[in-house]
Amino acid sequence: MVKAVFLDFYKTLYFHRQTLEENLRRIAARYRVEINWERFETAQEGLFADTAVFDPATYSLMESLMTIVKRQCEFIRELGVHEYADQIAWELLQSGHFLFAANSGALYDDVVPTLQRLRDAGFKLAIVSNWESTLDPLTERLGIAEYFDAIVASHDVRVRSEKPDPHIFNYALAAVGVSAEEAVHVGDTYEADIVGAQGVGIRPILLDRDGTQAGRWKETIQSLFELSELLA
Amino acid sequence: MIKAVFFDFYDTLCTWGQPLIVRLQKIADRYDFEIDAARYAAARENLYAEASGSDPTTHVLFETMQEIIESYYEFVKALGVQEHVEQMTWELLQSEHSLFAANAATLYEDTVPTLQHLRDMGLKLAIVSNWDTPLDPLTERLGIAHYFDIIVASHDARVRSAKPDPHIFNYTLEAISVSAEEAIHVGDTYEADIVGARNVGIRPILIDRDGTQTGRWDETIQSLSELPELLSVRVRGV
Repeated sequence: MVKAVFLDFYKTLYFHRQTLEENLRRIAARYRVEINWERFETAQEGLFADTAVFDPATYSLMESLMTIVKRQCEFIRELGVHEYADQIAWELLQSGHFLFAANSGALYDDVVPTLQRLRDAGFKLAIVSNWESTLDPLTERLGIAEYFDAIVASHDVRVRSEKPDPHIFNYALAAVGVSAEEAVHVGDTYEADIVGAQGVGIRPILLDRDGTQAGRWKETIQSLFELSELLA
Repeated sequence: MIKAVFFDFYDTLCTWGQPLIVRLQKIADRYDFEIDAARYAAARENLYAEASGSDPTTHVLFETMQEIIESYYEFVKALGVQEHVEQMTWELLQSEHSLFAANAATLYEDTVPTLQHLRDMGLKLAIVSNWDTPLDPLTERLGIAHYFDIIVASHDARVRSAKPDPHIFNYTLEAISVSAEEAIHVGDTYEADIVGARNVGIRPILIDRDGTQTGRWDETIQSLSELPELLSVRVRGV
């Protein structure tokens, strides 16, 4: 019998209304500075270039914060902006980055009604997310923290494991007090969510919001609204 | 004739929904940490002593950020926290600090209706605030940025002047193209808002939300909702 529902966070519950490019356009207009858009693609690569800093096993939140700040400033300068570069970088971080305000972050329309319905049906709920900070502050601001029995983030120093690694799932199972057979996990990323959950014996459900993953997994839904019926 | 209304931000349009101890308690609960009252009192005093505002003329945003992170880190350590200090520090910064998410930031109930009303009356609106970052991101998140013709923060690198200094007021007047006689400024802090505005010839209005500044200034209101009437009377009277 299913007693708990685990949910991935990004692109399952949460998305960004505006892209990096849209945020940058708006901010640059405020500062009346010219952006060299020809350099955008290359500059963006530098921004997302992965390094050992982001390995959950050794991750330090503050260290990565300063790395991100530094990269964001370099990114802005690479786009040909020199005046007010730091301040523009900070505004851009506020608009899109989860370590800052992530102002463009929003919930899908089906999230709150579904969480409420699952709660009313007596399910325990958890977030199991690959995320480089704890998720309590953000979910509190979004007004959904109260629905969850556990909010588990890969880079939380109490967790230090990212999907598809079994540990993060086992951590979540222990945190809500259910066994693997009593849980389902809903997510949009095949490798992390489906393979990961299956690896520990949790029933995985693929969320394919834009219909691009048809035939990938037997239990697939297109909206969280389908979830309460599926579990009834 | 009044064409523009300037507003102070903190404690005029916006406040922090929960005090530090409430936010801290919530985080401490998540980490199973027990707060000792005496330690908290001492640590809090240090936190606010160190975080005593930087000079807007020399302010460097990310340096200030680093100093603030360090002072909050020391604060959390001073509470006796030994495990996960960094992470708890970040959660606390998210909950309250303007350089991060300032999750506790909340508008007063009279803010949005008043801004809408003044807008409908055809007045230009501005924020003139002593604030150590630009205020556009926070006001956007709070959903009020679009009401303003300009949002001016003291520590913005384009401004670098804090009330009661005349420059920040003159900067704002120029940005929205009105003269000092055509503007009023509403704020809760006597020295910064009343003295500051008066010195450049802007008519100041004191907002005294909790009634602790009675008799301090001749034009005083207790709620922003008094503003539209105050202004329409004056407009007709002149």
